Amino acid sequence: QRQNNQPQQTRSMALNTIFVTRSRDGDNLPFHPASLRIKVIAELTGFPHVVKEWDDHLISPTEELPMLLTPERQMIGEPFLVAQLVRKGFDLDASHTDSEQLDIRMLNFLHTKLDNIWDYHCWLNPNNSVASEVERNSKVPIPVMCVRYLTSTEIKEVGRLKAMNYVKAEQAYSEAQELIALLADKLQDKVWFFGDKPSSFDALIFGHLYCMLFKEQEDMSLSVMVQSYSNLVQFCNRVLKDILGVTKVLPPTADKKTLFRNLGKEVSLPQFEDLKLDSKFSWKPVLGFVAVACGVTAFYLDRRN
Amino acid sequence: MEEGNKNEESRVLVKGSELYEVVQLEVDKGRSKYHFVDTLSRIWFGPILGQTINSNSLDEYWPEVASNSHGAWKGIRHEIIKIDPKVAVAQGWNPGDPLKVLLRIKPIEKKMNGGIGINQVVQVDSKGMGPISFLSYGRTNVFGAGEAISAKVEMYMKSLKRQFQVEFRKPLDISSPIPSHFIATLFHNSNEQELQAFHQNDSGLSLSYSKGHHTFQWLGSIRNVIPRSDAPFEIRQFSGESFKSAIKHVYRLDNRDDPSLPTVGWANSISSEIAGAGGDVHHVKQEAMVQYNFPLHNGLGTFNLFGQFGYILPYNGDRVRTCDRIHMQMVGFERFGVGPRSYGKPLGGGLHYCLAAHLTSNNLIKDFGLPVHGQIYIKAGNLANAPESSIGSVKECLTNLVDPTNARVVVGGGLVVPFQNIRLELNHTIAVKVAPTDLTKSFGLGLSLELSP
Repeated sequence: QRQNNQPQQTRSMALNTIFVTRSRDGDNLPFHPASLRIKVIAELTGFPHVVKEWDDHLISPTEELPMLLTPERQMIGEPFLVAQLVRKGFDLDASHTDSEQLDIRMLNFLHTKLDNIWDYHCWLNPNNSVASEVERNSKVPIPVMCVRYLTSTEIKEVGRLKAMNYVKAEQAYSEAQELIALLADKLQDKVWFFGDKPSSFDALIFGHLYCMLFKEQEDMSLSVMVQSYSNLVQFCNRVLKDILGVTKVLPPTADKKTLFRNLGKEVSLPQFEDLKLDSKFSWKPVLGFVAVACGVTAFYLDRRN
Repeated sequence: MEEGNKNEESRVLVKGSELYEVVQLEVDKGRSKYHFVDTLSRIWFGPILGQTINSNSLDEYWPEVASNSHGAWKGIRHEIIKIDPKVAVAQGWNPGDPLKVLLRIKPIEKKMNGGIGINQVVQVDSKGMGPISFLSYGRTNVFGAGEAISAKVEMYMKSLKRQFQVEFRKPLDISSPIPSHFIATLFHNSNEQELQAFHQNDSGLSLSYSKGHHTFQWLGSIRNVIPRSDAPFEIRQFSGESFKSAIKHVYRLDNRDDPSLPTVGWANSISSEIAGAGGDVHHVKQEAMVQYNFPLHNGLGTFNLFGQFGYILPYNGDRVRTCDRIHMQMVGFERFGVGPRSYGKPLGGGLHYCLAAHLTSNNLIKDFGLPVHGQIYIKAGNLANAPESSIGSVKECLTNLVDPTNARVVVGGGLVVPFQNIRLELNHTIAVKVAPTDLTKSFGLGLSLELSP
């Protein structure tokens, strides 16, 4: 199943290190679409590399994992990784026709859309956000966790809201449903999305489908959406087994929440979905006011004495 | 003898330069606790009892007493009250003898210290000397036993360094001749390490106990290293947050006559730190310094010897982080100019040594206002890479450290101007042996608080 798109010149045997986010299940498959994408591309093209799991995105010059570290200590972060591999001669799309390559490039916008949906599902879906935060802080000392909680929670939510433009859950999940249906329609019963040869688009979609299908969370809406298309599930399992050498069982969804299963019907959305920044209470200004008041009172009493 | 106001007990306040015999002593404790005042009174005021004193001489005595009150008092006020003549006679007073008096002492509490202002800093940061704006506020004798609380905010205008600190200091065992203190400090620092291409935020708490030459400290600090876009991989791999919980001991002994321009005496200090009592930072760090000064024959000058050695060793599979590495500063090199580098950025090291010999002359220019001394020196040192937590790695780094081919050697000379406990140096240095990655500097103007390499 692997393609070997090596250039004619002698291949460098020096080692490249790809830094990906840390996996949680011990199977070296992190629930991070971009990391999975690069792993699949590297395996399919035969790019000589070792994989290193890493916790902090700040190691990357773009502050996003995955990151490639060449033997010359050059660092290339996401989203420039795939382009760097192409430049080095490891191009998964080289064997496709020109029109297919054009289609692949045009469909790459789905990466951003699916990324935003995945971010919303993990961090802003109130059923999943707490577990995601706990998971992020699970290996961190308690004082660091406290400082993170005090200093970054509000900033993160502001950033995510602005970046995704998803103010209501209905927007995110209805778009997810449309995109998943589009993908199922595009794949049909083919082995790969673009015929019988894999492409970078396959790696991209696999990364997202794997995360949606297999990550166990309190709300499994996305998993249920994808499972309703058997060709997408088969595609995912095929890549897992043939390319990555892993067999996984789909997690159960019967006892999980799926608030957004049927968006066509009347769904009573939780009230906290309407996140408005000016209605969010913060202890920081209160503590600041108390500190200033104490200081002024102490100063006044001292002068008076 | 002048007569002051009569009080209800028919005792007369007296002033003057005549002699008086103190037969009674009263201390007004004010806001202080009884134990605090009693202990200090016993030490300093006890000898006065039964002595013949002169009122003016007491005024010269009080500043020294106030300076030993652990900052609680800024001065002492005293009143000399003539006791009842019948009582005085009963105690053996005869005409012509010094009057028997009651000495009433009232410490003047220091209520507040602090201020707002701009200072020209002596302590250099990554961009060198520059102004600091600061805002500080403090209260002494907070709970009546010499405790002090202070808060300070400092901003270094040239670099982007910010420091915020709240400190609580309490003197312990006031009666002991060896002073001891407990100090608790809450801090938050924000520092742009421009030369090393990262920004660091530190927040934490330190608790320390010092007695005499020894200081014991526990430090809990959350460090967040944020690399800049041009930071090399060796710095990036240690980015993010880490929590350091460390216990440190410092022993310092200094019997030099003047730390900034010593002519006689010696000083040594040893600091040992173990990080890993909680937190995710595990290392052992030690630094030792020794300095000897010998006056030359016929008083021509001074010969100074200086030696320094330090190492940091990770354990438990940890590695030495960027913010924990040792940086060596030597005359003749740029700041962070010695040691391993990657893409031009200094990385710091894990083992270092420095040996220096100075010959310092006496004041060269008489009647100039400020003393100007000449000096010549030779210095040698090395900064080796930080080892990993394996015996092989430690051996390799130690071998690199002691290898003479890796040593840096400089010679030079210049002028030294001591000014208000600060040492100002203007030197010309010739690099005899340096590493290809080192950044040298021939002419240098340096400021320090003591003789250093």
